[in-house]
Amino acid sequence: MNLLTANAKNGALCIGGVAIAWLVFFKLNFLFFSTIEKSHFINWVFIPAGVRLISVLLFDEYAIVGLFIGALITSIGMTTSPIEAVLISLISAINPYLAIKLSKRILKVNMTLGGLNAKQLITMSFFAALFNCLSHNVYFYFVDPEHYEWYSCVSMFTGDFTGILIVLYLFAFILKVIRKAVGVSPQK
Amino acid sequence: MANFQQIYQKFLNLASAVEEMSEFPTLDPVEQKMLSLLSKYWASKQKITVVEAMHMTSDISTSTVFRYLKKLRTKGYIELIVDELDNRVKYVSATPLADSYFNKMGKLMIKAAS
Repeated sequence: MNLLTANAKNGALCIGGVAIAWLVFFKLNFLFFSTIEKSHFINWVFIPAGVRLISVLLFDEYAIVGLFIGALITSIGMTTSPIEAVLISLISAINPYLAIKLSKRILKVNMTLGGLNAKQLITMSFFAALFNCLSHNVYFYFVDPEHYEWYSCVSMFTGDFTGILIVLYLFAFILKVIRKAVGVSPQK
Repeated sequence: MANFQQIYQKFLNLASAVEEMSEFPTLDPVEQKMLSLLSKYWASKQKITVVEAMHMTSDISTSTVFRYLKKLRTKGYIELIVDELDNRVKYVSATPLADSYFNKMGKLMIKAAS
């Protein structure tokens, strides 16, 4: 029973952490990049996409729940109905998991990301951005085929890929600063 | 099950890959030697053709040097510039990445010395 409680606690921590990270980066994206957004769901730069990638890589299935909760919260007020908010949040949460699962299998990256290199990471980022733009745009097309604009796929892909790269380089920068402060050299 | 040990291991591996993104493309010892041999020509503002580069050292066979020149080009450290008068002749030239690399090596050397 204690083990069950401990696991539930740990799981809740992961889920909560992912949801909070999503909310923070969504807010930051709105602060810095709202002027270049195409619509509520499409932006030329979308840094929360980086949260999707990193959270799925670290937390696997817990990331799906965390991303779903985060996306649901940020979808409030942006969608026409609760059902639409749930559907879009589900797409937002599940597709990065599928993209990364598939790319890990193709690139032969193991469960603990052992031996993961920069090239594989960028390839995964590409897959994640592509999956996301395709899945969202298929949904947008079926919901409103008359007003659907195919080139929104391009902006969404660009936004996600750019957002992921920004977050990864920010991550690298923070690590560099921490290492310099602590006096530890990178592990190879 | 949220295994924090495993999550931490994943974090370390991810951090390693992320740091690799922001560093220079790694060079093996042969590529480093080739770059330092080429730098002697570049430092004295001499032009060096691909054929001359292939013969710049007797330690490595010409075919191997050619293979490594291609690798350095792929990694972005050198570029081949076609001669204006004879387009059969190509000069091996340093790229801004190579200049940054030498700059960094120089700084590391000074840091090590101090």
